Amino acid sequence: MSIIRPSTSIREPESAFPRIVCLVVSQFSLPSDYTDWEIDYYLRFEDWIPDKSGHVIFVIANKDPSAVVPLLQQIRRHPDFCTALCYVTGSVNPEIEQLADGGLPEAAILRERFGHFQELLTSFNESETAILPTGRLIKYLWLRPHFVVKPCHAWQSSRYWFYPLLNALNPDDDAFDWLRALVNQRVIESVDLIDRQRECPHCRSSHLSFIDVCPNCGSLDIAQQASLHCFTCGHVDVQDNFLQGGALVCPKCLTQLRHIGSDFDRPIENHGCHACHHVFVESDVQVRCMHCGKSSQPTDLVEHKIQSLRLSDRGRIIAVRGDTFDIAASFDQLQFIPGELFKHDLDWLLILARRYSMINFSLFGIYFPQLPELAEKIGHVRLMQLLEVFAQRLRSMLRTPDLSTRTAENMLWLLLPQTDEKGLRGFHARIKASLGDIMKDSDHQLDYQLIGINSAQINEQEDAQLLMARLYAEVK
Amino acid sequence: MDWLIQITQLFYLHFFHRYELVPFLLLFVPFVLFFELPLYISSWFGIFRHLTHDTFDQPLTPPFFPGVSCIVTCYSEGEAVKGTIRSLLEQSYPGHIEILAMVDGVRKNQKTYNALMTCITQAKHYANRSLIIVPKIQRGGRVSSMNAGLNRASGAIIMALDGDTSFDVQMVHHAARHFRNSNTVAVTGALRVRNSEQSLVTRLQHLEYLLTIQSGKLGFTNLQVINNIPGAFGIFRKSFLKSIGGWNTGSAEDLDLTLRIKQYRQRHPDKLIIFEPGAVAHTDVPDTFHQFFQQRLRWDGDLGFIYFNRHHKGMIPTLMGWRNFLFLLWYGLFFQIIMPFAIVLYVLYMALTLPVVAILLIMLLIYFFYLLLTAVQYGLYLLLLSDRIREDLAAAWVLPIFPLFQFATRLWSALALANQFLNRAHLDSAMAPYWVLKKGKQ
Repeated sequence: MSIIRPSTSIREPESAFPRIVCLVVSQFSLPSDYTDWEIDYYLRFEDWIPDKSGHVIFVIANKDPSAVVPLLQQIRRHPDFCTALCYVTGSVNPEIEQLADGGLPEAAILRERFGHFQELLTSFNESETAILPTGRLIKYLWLRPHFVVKPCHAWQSSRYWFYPLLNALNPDDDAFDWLRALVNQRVIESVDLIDRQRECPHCRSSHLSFIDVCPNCGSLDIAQQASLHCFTCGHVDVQDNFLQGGALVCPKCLTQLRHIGSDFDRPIENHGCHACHHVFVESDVQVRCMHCGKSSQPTDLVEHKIQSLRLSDRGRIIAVRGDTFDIAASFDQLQFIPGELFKHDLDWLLILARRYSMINFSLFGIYFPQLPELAEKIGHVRLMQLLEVFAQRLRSMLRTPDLSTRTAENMLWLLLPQTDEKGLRGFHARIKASLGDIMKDSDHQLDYQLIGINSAQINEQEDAQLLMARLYAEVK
Repeated sequence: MDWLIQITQLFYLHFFHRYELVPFLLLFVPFVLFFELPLYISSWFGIFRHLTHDTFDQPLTPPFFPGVSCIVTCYSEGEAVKGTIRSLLEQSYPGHIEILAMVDGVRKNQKTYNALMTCITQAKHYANRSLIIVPKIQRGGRVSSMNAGLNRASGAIIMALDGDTSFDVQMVHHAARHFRNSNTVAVTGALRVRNSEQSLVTRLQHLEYLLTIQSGKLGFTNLQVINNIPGAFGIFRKSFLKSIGGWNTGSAEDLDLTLRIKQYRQRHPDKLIIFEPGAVAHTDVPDTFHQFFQQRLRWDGDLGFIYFNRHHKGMIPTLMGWRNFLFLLWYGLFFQIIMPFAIVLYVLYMALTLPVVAILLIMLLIYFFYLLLTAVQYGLYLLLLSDRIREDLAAAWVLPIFPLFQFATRLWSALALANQFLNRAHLDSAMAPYWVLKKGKQ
């Protein structure tokens, strides 16, 4: 075990020069071009005492891939150094490729790579989220812009497919579940769909045996059997029962069957059960897990998309800003309906109102002009709280038949049936008062624009699409 | 009943008083009595003999299931070929059936080829059945396909079949059992009309096939004088067929082969050609009168070509034996060649010598005579032989028109023969390209 530091002449004053932690099996030294680097040699990962202030590059000098992988996993699990650059001197298999940064390059190239790594690291917003597994993954992917999270497979693994990086960064959670959550949060996005895997609902093993059984009694003892279908009487039976001295005679109506297609045909029921003598078209399929031995239906199996993934735009925004917020989430309690449906309903109400004078409704729009800027200014947590309070109030004002939707991140629409001009004015005033109340409690100003229109004021030619576009242009 | 008395009186007046009965008998009787009647009577006896044989003469036979190779000549059948292949796969025969689908001119007939390719997976589900598709890029005609198939065939029995013909499930079973007798060299079976319900002309042909093939050939097989083994449905012993060199190039290769087999009769009198009514094939026949007469123009013309151009030296009793020679003389030469011309001349003679009323009356007499013969034959067939009584009963309504249809085909036959003699029509066949036909013996 030894530590070698590069000579001070090479170290550039502004960048924190990394220390190389070399994990070796026995006597080993890095190539001669690394002589001016600070290198510490350790036989075991546990022997290394991390120094949080400095930067570290790990080099694993071990030819045995089965020994390299556990070392890499240990590094990737480390709370502070999980995203550090790691190189191996031996061969790179797919699993190592996922956990390490490849084979050890020449010193000059490594220096260049580290410089780039360092640049990305300074632009990364080290917020509190980075202590969570998702934050670590985002950081890991941010520091490696072209990295693609790929699954590996091993027949010895009960699940067959596994994600080495996800397992190493978050050993406590199920990688597939975590992955689904990450995709749902739009932190990472799919690159390629590689496989579709089905797992036992009891033990999550993907080593399954599919067996066809009788749909009547569930017996395994089924076989294909040649059957015939007599056209004269419609009798369906096993072919052997039709054979009489070389001729085919229907056992039910005793007609001699001479020509296929005109006297008889092959029925589609060509499977038979030896246990219950049921004749059927298609057998049932049962799944037997080869790990826990439990049986299940194919429809009960847990299905996973096995795909390769990379950091999404949203993931990169989180990396730079620390976190993002989704305005939609703050309005969740308003129970938005899809925009298309909203327009459809509005169109229908327009037609109704034109035909029957007693039908009356109002359309109301709320526009927040500077939401993104405000998020920058007061922080997304504060803004979210603000919007949530507003949404709560708004909901209390809405009646059951009222519909709401959102056509842009900051444009809400409310459709208020049986609301005349007077009612609309009242609603307008209430919204304004409610927003005023919120502002009073808050130190910050939430800009908003309100617009409302009653069915009586709507032009004959306008439909929902045109009307909403016109109002949006007015309010914007 | 008044009209019947009037007609009798008319007959009496015309023939007994004005012309005497004798010359009339001389005109009419020889044709029907000497040429037609024996044909009918032989087939009636054939039906009875088949029945007694079928009922009482059933020896206990050990299993005999030699390998069968079916050479299916395919051309432009398209999807229809699937039905043929399927009906062969579905045979009840327990032995091995090898299906050799020969696709002639495969580039032009891609549809047929593709249809056959879809049958390959189907064929794998059948035990003891194999399907081999042989695409022939250069079109060589029917004969070339059949000879190529003969070379590739592995079975001891060869079936030469048409791509648009389908078969009853027991066809192979019935046909193959005759080969237990080592003297049997060829077997043919009943050809039925599949599209009989399509039009009047197909219904007429249904009745014609039923009378001439299904019941007619029963008479011939007893006398060992089968007139023809049809190309669409011929079954042969492979060793024999190979030793006589397979099929010869040229049109009417089926009749040519039949005559060549018959030419061994004198030296090998025990060799048998058998008609098996239980081996049933179904084929589509021309569905318009135009197509029908086109087909007969070719068929009847080919008769002249085969009898006069190809085999005029072979049709001698020292080769064929007296029985077959006389049969050919009677059936082939007189009935098929001379009769049509005789009828034409007879009609012309009547037209020139007799008044219109007399011609009409004679024609009426001939009509009723033929109607009676046909009705007896049809009735016997229906009662004793038919395996599809309901279907065959449907042909009853064309029975009154049938003598007229026969008369028309006879007249047409004369035209076809004249066309052959004058135009060498056998070189204008759709069965093979011209360059192939030209190479055959003229």
